[in-house]
Amino acid sequence: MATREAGKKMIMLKSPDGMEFEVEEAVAMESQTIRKMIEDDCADTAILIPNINSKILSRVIEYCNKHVPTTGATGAAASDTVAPAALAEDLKIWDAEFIKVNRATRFNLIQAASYLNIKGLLDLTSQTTIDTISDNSLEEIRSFLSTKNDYLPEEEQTIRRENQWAFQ
Amino acid sequence: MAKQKLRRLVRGPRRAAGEDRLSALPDELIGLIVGRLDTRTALSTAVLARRWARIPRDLPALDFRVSDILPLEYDQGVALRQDLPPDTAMAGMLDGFLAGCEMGSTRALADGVTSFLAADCDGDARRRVKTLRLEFFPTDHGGCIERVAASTPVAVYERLFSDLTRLQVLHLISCSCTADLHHLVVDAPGSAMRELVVEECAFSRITVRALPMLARLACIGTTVVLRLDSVPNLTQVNLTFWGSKKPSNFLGKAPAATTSLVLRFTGPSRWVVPIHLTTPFLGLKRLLVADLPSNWDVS
Repeated sequence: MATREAGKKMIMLKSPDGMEFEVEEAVAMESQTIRKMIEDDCADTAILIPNINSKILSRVIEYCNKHVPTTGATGAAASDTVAPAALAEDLKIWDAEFIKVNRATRFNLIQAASYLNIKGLLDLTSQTTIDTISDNSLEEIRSFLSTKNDYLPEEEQTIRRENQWAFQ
Repeated sequence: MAKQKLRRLVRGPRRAAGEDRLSALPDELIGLIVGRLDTRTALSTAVLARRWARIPRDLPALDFRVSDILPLEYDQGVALRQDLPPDTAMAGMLDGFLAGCEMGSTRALADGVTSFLAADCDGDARRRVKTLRLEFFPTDHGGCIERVAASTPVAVYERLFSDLTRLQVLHLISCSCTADLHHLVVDAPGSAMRELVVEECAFSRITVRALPMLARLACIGTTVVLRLDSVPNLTQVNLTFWGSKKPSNFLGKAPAATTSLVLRFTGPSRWVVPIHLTTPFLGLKRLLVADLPSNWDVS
């Protein structure tokens, strides 16, 4: 995908573990953080993306590649022939497949989506966590998060009283 | 990095597979995720562990809705009740059942809000909530509301203003209160409240002594006496009456900063006696008077 073509500006993204990714500017600009850097002219050479390793960064780029708005200029013929609704449906299926990752990767993706400010990816990655929290008992959530209840009994009483509305 | 490694060592290898990576996220990010949950689930996460205690306190918006705890049978009961003729024994039984549900749920909501406010008074528990929505009963199911009214003292509402000083938007919809005191007095010089909507509530008198930041006020429904003392920033006022009681002395003193005023008369026809305001609307730029009787001279 990331081949240099005439008329397309390419951006170099670097992960802290030294990997470099060349992506189209439009794809990189799916991230509001990178968009701001580009608009402020801070992106002449490579952009270093701190805290996001190459494995996660490549997944993020994969997501952005798929979600970049397909206009005629970027050469995606699909949008001309397929109805927008079908395209959205296709994206949904793709997203569902994309998010089938282990928990650690998902949490890394949340962090990356938040740092890079990619709303769609943040929505997608948070949702699974939200579903887990909504549908399970506190004990199940604790075990899912491997969090230990470190409250003293009287402290827990106080905190339960404060948030009594949740337990009625 | 070193810290993570240590944690892994402490937990031992067996646990490493199900690592608590969510807790490895910064508080803001956890807050972002928890903020997408409904208010009750979000509040419940405080009990998970110490670190989680403050996460619901930092949420920007909370939604207390009585419908969140009404039993499933309540909606079925309401649907059934609408199809019944009013005077059957079955209707009476259903009314009793619905009233019971409403009373229990409203009491629980009042208790929930009271504990929520009580906790806010403890020094380190400062909340960042900017928007708070309270929803009691959106519809009036024949007479039941009056019986529920007794369970919520008017002081609970007054504390919303005085204790939650960061609150900027408050909508009170179908809120009832104790029968003897229908007078809501708001005196909160430290409040950041910008928008207040009182819709179809049981307060027949509202006195706003001080709400310095208030810019928008809507008072819709049965309130018949509204007094505004210190509201220097109030620019938009919407007053809509439809109650059966006579609006008397509505708005004794006009807030000087008001630029837009909407007046609607939607109740049964009645005599309206014009009185002179003790202070006129000095800055009024837009005035909408709607639903007037056709024989009124509005010049």
